[in-house]
Amino acid sequence: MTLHNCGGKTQAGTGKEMLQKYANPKRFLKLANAFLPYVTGATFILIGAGVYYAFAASPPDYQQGQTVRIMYVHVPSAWMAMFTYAFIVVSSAVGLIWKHPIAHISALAAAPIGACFTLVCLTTGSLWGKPMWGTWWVWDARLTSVLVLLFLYLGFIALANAFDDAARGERASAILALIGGINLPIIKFSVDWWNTLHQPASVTKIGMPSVHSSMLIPLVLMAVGFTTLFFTLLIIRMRSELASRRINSHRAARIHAEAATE
Amino acid sequence: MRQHYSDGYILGGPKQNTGLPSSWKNIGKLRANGTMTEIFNMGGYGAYVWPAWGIAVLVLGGLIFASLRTMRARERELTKLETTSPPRRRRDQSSEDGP
Repeated sequence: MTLHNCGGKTQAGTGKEMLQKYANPKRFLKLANAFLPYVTGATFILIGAGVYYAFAASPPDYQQGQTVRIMYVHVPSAWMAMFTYAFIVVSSAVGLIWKHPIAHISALAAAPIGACFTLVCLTTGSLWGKPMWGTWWVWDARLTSVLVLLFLYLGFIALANAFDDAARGERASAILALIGGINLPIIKFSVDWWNTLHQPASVTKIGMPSVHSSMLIPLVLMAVGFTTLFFTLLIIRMRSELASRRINSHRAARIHAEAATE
Repeated sequence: MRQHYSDGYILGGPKQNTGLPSSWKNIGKLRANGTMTEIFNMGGYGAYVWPAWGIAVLVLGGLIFASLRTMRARERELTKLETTSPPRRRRDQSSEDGP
């Protein structure tokens, strides 16, 4: 009986190899499904509390008025856009170097999540920039590098799906992810290195955050809530991807079985 | 020192009741009258605040919905395939063609 491993190459399977091939995914799935209800519940609670604090229990800004409420969705989504890309860089490196079977799958599952966070970041940023800066867009260092981040996500997804052989797609997209990793420090330090319209860091800087606690609380709640949302979606999407590969294995096995009986 | 905003928010504590301590927890509490309009207007920035949050809800909600739908469809198909798989042939009877 022929088997297809995650890379799509066919290989005769001994019982032990079969077990090895699926042991990791099965172990992962068991672990992931155990976590899923907790991480989902945490997401609801944290984002719910975050929204409450963002609108009902925090003041308008002295200078920015009520537009500061956009900060509570713009900044967390920006943080998550970068966090997700860092996650993809690590997963891609692990997949390329140690060839861990789950690594590329986790990167593939995370990419659309990151793209969505980046999209939210850019659009909420524009909607905040128009009343505050007077412009929807400006080609300053931070905005441009976040736009590049969006293109990196889309490129990663496209490259991973561009090959018939899933293994080549994984490898190509992983390499793209690693090369694009240089963009992360550029985004982070762009406001320090260049004269940008986007304001410099107020939270993640040396010393105490220069944000009042009344605004820091909804910000942190939304950020942690978005993080748990990321992990919830990651588990869901990895389950889909693993199921998809097993479906392909089954289909391939059937085709071979039918071909052999002809 | 208390600063008042035209949209009813008070920085530093409640306006009328001087007996309550002015902790930051009282900042931002909406006054009872006219709040729906105030919420909709968001101090004149309603046209920006609500679409921003709306887009975030739509995009992230859409992602959640699509991910869940795909997961359920694929896992359903997988269980279907696993319960109706063809009888397995023993390895020593497999065809000469091999892998």
